[in-house]
Amino acid sequence: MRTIRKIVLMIGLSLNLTGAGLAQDTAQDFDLNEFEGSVVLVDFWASWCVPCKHSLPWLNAMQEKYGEQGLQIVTINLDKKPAASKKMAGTLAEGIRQFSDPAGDLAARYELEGMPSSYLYDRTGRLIESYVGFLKDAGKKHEAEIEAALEGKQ
Amino acid sequence: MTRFREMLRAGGLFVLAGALLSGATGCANLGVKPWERDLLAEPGMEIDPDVVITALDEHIYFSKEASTGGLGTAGGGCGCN
Repeated sequence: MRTIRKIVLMIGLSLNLTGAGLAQDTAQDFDLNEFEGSVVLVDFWASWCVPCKHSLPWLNAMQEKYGEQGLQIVTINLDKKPAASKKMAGTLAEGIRQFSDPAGDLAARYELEGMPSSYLYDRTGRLIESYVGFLKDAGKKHEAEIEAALEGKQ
Repeated sequence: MTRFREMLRAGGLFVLAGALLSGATGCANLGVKPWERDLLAEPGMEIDPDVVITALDEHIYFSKEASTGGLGTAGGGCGCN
Protein backbone atom coordinates (compact mmCIF):
# COMPACT_ATOMS: atom_id res chain seq x y z
CA MET A 1 0.00 0.00 0.00
CA ARG A 2 2.87 2.34 0.88
CA THR A 3 4.55 1.57 -2.43
CA ILE A 4 1.38 2.46 -4.34
CA ARG A 5 1.14 5.73 -2.39
CA LYS A 6 4.75 6.53 -3.20
CA ILE A 7 4.20 5.82 -6.91
CA VAL A 8 1.05 8.00 -7.00
CA LEU A 9 2.92 10.80 -5.18
CA MET A 10 5.87 10.59 -7.56
CA ILE A 11 3.63 10.69 -10.64
CA GLY A 12 1.79 13.68 -9.19
CA LEU A 13 5.04 15.50 -8.43
CA SER A 14 6.53 14.81 -11.86
CA LEU A 15 3.36 16.09 -13.59
CA ASN A 16 3.50 19.21 -11.44
CA LEU A 17 7.18 19.76 -12.22
CA THR A 18 6.74 19.43 -15.99
CA GLY A 19 4.04 22.09 -15.91
CA ALA A 20 5.99 24.41 -13.61
CA GLY A 21 7.99 26.15 -16.32
CA LEU A 22 4.99 26.65 -18.57
CA ALA A 23 2.86 28.87 -16.37
CA GLN A 24 0.76 30.94 -18.76
CA ASP A 25 -1.80 33.41 -17.54
CA THR A 26 -4.89 34.12 -19.59
CA ALA A 27 -5.52 37.25 -21.64
CA GLN A 28 -7.99 38.46 -19.02
CA ASP A 29 -5.15 38.60 -16.47
CA PHE A 30 -3.06 40.90 -18.69
CA ASP A 31 -2.68 44.40 -17.26
CA LEU A 32 0.18 46.64 -18.35
CA ASN A 33 -0.06 48.67 -15.12
CA GLU A 34 1.20 45.61 -13.28
CA PHE A 35 4.65 46.24 -14.78
CA GLU A 36 4.87 49.96 -14.07
CA GLY A 37 8.42 50.90 -13.14
CA SER A 38 9.89 48.43 -15.62
CA VAL A 39 10.72 48.80 -19.29
CA VAL A 40 8.26 46.38 -20.88
CA LEU A 41 8.50 44.57 -24.18
CA VAL A 42 5.16 42.97 -25.10
CA ASP A 43 5.64 40.30 -27.75
CA PHE A 44 2.86 38.50 -29.64
CA TRP A 45 3.84 35.10 -31.01
CA ALA A 46 2.46 31.73 -32.14
CA SER A 47 3.97 28.30 -32.72
CA TRP A 48 2.95 28.27 -36.42
CA CYS A 49 4.77 31.56 -37.11
CA VAL A 50 8.32 30.92 -38.36
CA PRO A 51 9.79 34.40 -37.64
CA CYS A 52 8.38 34.08 -34.10
CA LYS A 53 10.48 30.94 -33.64
CA HIS A 54 13.57 32.92 -34.60
CA SER A 55 12.70 35.72 -32.19
CA LEU A 56 12.34 33.55 -29.06
CA PRO A 57 16.11 33.02 -28.47
CA TRP A 58 16.58 36.79 -28.85
CA LEU A 59 13.83 37.45 -26.29
CA ASN A 60 15.52 35.00 -23.91
CA ALA A 61 18.87 36.73 -24.38
CA MET A 62 17.35 40.17 -23.75
CA GLN A 63 15.54 39.05 -20.57
CA GLU A 64 18.68 37.42 -19.23
CA LYS A 65 20.92 40.36 -20.11
CA TYR A 66 18.69 43.25 -19.02
CA GLY A 67 16.26 41.66 -16.54
CA GLU A 68 18.20 42.93 -13.53
CA GLN A 69 18.27 46.45 -14.97
CA GLY A 70 14.49 46.52 -15.12
CA LEU A 71 13.48 44.95 -18.42
CA GLN A 72 10.35 42.83 -18.30
CA ILE A 73 9.53 40.80 -21.39
CA VAL A 74 5.88 39.79 -21.65
CA THR A 75 4.89 37.22 -24.26
CA ILE A 76 1.35 36.68 -25.48
CA ASN A 77 0.80 33.39 -27.25
CA LEU A 78 -1.93 33.33 -29.89
CA ASP A 79 -2.21 29.59 -30.59
CA LYS A 80 -5.84 28.52 -30.68
CA LYS A 81 -4.83 25.26 -29.05
CA PRO A 82 -2.44 26.17 -26.22
CA ALA A 83 -1.05 22.61 -26.28
CA ALA A 84 0.58 23.43 -29.64
CA SER A 85 2.75 26.09 -28.04
CA LYS A 86 3.69 24.07 -24.96
CA LYS A 87 7.07 22.88 -26.26
CA MET A 88 8.19 26.31 -27.48
CA ALA A 89 6.82 28.11 -24.43
CA GLY A 90 8.95 25.78 -22.31
CA THR A 91 12.09 27.17 -23.97
CA LEU A 92 11.37 30.72 -22.79
CA ALA A 93 13.60 32.16 -20.07
CA GLU A 94 12.42 32.04 -16.48
CA GLY A 95 11.95 35.78 -16.01
CA ILE A 96 9.66 36.15 -19.01
CA ARG A 97 5.99 36.60 -18.10
CA GLN A 98 3.76 34.49 -20.33
CA PHE A 99 0.13 34.99 -21.30
CA SER A 100 -2.12 32.90 -23.53
CA ASP A 101 -4.72 34.52 -25.78
CA PRO A 102 -6.34 31.75 -27.88
CA ALA A 103 -9.37 33.89 -28.75
CA GLY A 104 -7.15 36.73 -30.03
CA ASP A 105 -8.81 39.37 -27.81
CA LEU A 106 -5.54 41.14 -26.98
CA ALA A 107 -4.36 40.80 -30.58
CA ALA A 108 -7.54 42.52 -31.75
CA ARG A 109 -7.14 45.24 -29.11
CA TYR A 110 -3.58 45.94 -30.30
CA GLU A 111 -4.70 45.66 -33.96
CA LEU A 112 -1.65 43.61 -34.94
CA GLU A 113 -0.43 44.19 -38.47
CA GLY A 114 1.74 41.09 -38.67
CA MET A 115 3.36 38.27 -36.77
CA PRO A 116 5.33 38.58 -34.59
CA SER A 117 4.50 42.02 -33.26
CA SER A 118 6.26 43.71 -30.33
CA TYR A 119 5.63 46.86 -28.33
CA LEU A 120 8.23 48.60 -26.20
CA TYR A 121 7.04 50.68 -23.22
CA ASP A 122 9.13 52.92 -20.97
CA ARG A 123 9.06 52.80 -17.18
CA THR A 124 5.98 55.04 -17.04
CA GLY A 125 3.99 52.82 -19.40
CA ARG A 126 4.37 55.10 -22.43
CA LEU A 127 4.65 53.34 -25.80
CA ILE A 128 8.07 54.08 -27.31
CA GLU A 129 8.42 51.71 -30.25
CA SER A 130 6.49 49.00 -32.05
CA TYR A 131 7.96 46.33 -34.30
CA VAL A 132 6.32 44.08 -36.89
CA GLY A 133 8.12 40.90 -37.92
CA PHE A 134 11.55 39.81 -36.79
CA LEU A 135 14.82 39.91 -38.68
CA LYS A 136 18.04 38.83 -36.99
CA ASP A 137 19.79 42.03 -38.09
CA ALA A 138 17.02 44.12 -36.51
CA GLY A 139 17.78 42.55 -33.11
CA LYS A 140 20.76 44.89 -32.59
CA LYS A 141 18.68 47.97 -33.34
CA HIS A 142 15.94 46.82 -30.97
CA GLU A 143 18.55 46.11 -28.29
CA ALA A 144 19.91 49.66 -28.59
CA GLU A 145 16.37 50.99 -28.13
CA ILE A 146 15.86 48.80 -25.07
CA GLU A 147 19.16 50.06 -23.61
CA ALA A 148 18.11 53.66 -24.23
CA ALA A 149 14.75 53.03 -22.57
CA LEU A 150 16.46 51.46 -19.54
CA GLU A 151 18.67 54.53 -19.23
CA GLY A 152 15.63 56.78 -19.62
CA LYS A 153 16.97 58.38 -22.79
CA GLN A 154 13.77 57.99 -24.79
CA MET B 1 -56.64 52.06 -52.28
CA THR B 2 -54.32 55.11 -52.26
CA ARG B 3 -53.45 54.40 -48.66
CA PHE B 4 -52.57 50.79 -49.59
CA ARG B 5 -50.29 52.05 -52.36
CA GLU B 6 -48.56 54.46 -49.98
CA MET B 7 -47.95 51.66 -47.50
CA LEU B 8 -46.62 49.45 -50.29
CA ARG B 9 -44.27 52.21 -51.42
CA ALA B 10 -43.02 52.85 -47.87
CA GLY B 11 -42.43 49.12 -47.38
CA GLY B 12 -40.55 48.93 -50.68
CA LEU B 13 -38.35 51.88 -49.70
CA PHE B 14 -37.66 50.26 -46.33
CA VAL B 15 -36.58 46.99 -47.98
CA LEU B 16 -34.41 48.89 -50.50
CA ALA B 17 -32.71 50.89 -47.73
CA GLY B 18 -32.06 47.67 -45.80
CA ALA B 19 -30.54 46.00 -48.86
CA LEU B 20 -28.31 49.01 -49.57
CA LEU B 21 -27.14 49.20 -45.96
CA SER B 22 -26.32 45.49 -45.79
CA GLY B 23 -24.46 45.84 -49.10
CA ALA B 24 -22.45 48.77 -47.74
CA THR B 25 -21.31 46.81 -44.70
CA GLY B 26 -20.65 43.61 -46.67
CA CYS B 27 -17.02 44.46 -47.46
CA ALA B 28 -16.22 45.97 -44.07
CA ASN B 29 -14.65 42.81 -42.66
CA LEU B 30 -12.66 41.11 -45.38
CA GLY B 31 -9.51 39.08 -44.96
CA VAL B 32 -7.89 36.94 -42.33
CA LYS B 33 -6.24 38.75 -39.43
CA PRO B 34 -2.50 38.14 -38.90
CA TRP B 35 -3.12 36.16 -35.72
CA GLU B 36 -5.70 33.93 -37.46
CA ARG B 37 -3.31 32.50 -40.05
CA ASP B 38 -2.58 29.24 -38.23
CA LEU B 39 -4.28 27.03 -40.82
CA LEU B 40 -2.90 29.05 -43.74
CA ALA B 41 0.61 28.55 -42.32
CA GLU B 42 0.36 24.75 -42.49
CA PRO B 43 2.66 23.06 -45.06
CA GLY B 44 -0.35 21.47 -46.77
CA MET B 45 -1.70 24.92 -47.64
CA GLU B 46 1.21 25.72 -49.96
CA ILE B 47 0.46 26.02 -53.68
CA ASP B 48 2.93 23.19 -54.27
CA PRO B 49 2.92 21.18 -51.02
CA ASP B 50 5.05 18.30 -52.37
CA VAL B 51 7.59 18.99 -55.11
CA VAL B 52 8.27 15.30 -55.87
CA ILE B 53 4.59 14.43 -56.31
CA THR B 54 4.09 17.48 -58.52
CA ALA B 55 7.08 16.46 -60.70
CA LEU B 56 5.71 12.91 -61.06
CA ASP B 57 2.22 14.18 -61.87
CA GLU B 58 3.63 16.47 -64.54
CA HIS B 59 5.70 13.66 -66.01
CA ILE B 60 2.67 11.36 -66.25
CA TYR B 61 0.58 14.18 -67.70
CA PHE B 62 2.89 15.06 -70.57
CA SER B 63 3.64 11.39 -71.30
CA LYS B 64 0.02 10.31 -71.50
CA GLU B 65 -1.39 13.40 -73.15
CA ALA B 66 1.51 13.87 -75.55
CA SER B 67 1.52 17.46 -74.47
CA THR B 68 5.23 18.00 -74.40
CA GLY B 69 6.23 21.61 -74.19
CA GLY B 70 3.31 22.77 -72.11
CA LEU B 71 5.23 22.24 -68.90
CA GLY B 72 8.65 23.23 -70.16
CA THR B 73 10.07 19.72 -70.58
CA ALA B 74 11.66 17.96 -73.56
CA GLY B 75 10.77 14.59 -75.05
CA GLY B 76 7.95 12.83 -76.85
CA GLY B 77 4.68 11.25 -75.89
CA CYS B 78 6.09 7.76 -75.60
CA GLY B 79 6.25 7.75 -71.80
CA CYS B 80 9.95 6.92 -71.99
CA ASN B 81 11.34 10.09 -70.41
